[in-house]
Amino acid sequence: MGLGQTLLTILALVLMGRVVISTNTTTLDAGFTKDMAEYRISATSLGTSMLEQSSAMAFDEATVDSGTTNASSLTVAASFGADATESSEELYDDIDDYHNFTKIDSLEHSAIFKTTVSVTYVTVSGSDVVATTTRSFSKQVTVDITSDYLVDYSVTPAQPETLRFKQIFSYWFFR
Amino acid sequence: MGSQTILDLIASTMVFGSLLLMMLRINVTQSETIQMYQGDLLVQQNLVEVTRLLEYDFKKIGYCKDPTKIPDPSDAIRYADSLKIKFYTDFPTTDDPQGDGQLDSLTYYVGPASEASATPNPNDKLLYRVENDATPVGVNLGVTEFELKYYDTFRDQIASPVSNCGLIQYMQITIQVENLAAADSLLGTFASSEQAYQKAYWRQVRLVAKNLRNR
Repeated sequence: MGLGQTLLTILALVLMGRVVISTNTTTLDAGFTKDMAEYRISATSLGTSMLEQSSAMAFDEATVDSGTTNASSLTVAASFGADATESSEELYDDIDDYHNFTKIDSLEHSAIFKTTVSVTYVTVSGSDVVATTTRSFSKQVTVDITSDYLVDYSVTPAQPETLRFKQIFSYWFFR
Repeated sequence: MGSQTILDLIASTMVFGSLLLMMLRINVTQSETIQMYQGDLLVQQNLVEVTRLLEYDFKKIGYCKDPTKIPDPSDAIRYADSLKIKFYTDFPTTDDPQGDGQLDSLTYYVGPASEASATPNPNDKLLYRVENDATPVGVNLGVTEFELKYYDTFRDQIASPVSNCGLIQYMQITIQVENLAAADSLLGTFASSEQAYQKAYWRQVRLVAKNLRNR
């Protein structure tokens, strides 16, 4: 085999190797995308579950057993969080008890997720809904879901991804 | 033809053969991978569709455009066990997306796995969504697990079947969807009864129907 033929063979092998690596990269990228979609589905179910869970609570400690028409009787924003007697989630009775609540959870065939909840009063400012410390009849629950497996590979370098779910609960009463 | 030429021919044939084998192997692996990913995508889409439908319907438990038709929300759920639920609701119509003001009943349940024996996956079941007294027609979206749990206002679980449906305040829905046919060949080799079908899992903890709380 002459030198030219040897070089051609080496070049062919290099090209082949390049194709193999490129194919592998594409396959792995597709795999990451698929896995991310699965993790996001699981994280979404946990996020919406947390919102549902908080929606089942009373609007405020002051409305657990009775109604109120006076916003000044509601819990002050600085006191959001579990009450002294509410040592576990099962004892929570109103929405703002979930403020600063964290939970490590997992689903079958999925990753371990961390759920973090924050609660704020909100009010309308212009055309925007903004957080406020002033007591009002609307509270916004924000649920953040994070996981070591939730990573945004679309940016370089890859960054941890947080799924955020928000819902505003307003106090109303009828019937 | 000299011996050197013959050696060159043999060497080049071996190199060509190696490259060809590599290409074929890559092609096969790539095809399997794409098939697996597409199967997984299908499973995820099915799961999202099922949960979207369930959430929409379950959110409207006890809803009626004409509230006088269902004065007591505790009557909204007619039957409930871990695999089946029947409740009152009001279906949207083409004329009025809020419903026609007439009470409808909606039943959800899954059939036995033997009903879907035509598919390679032995675990899939038909999911039934029956409007009023319509003839039950199941759809096979690959649901292999469909479990409902019920909780009362004190967040205590109610035993199934629920004897007093008026106690139900929250529900927990667990759904697992598997691919109907495509086994996950990349996960390993399994006996036919233990094939690893691609699956996706959803657990909606504490689904709350607003109309159930209206009492």
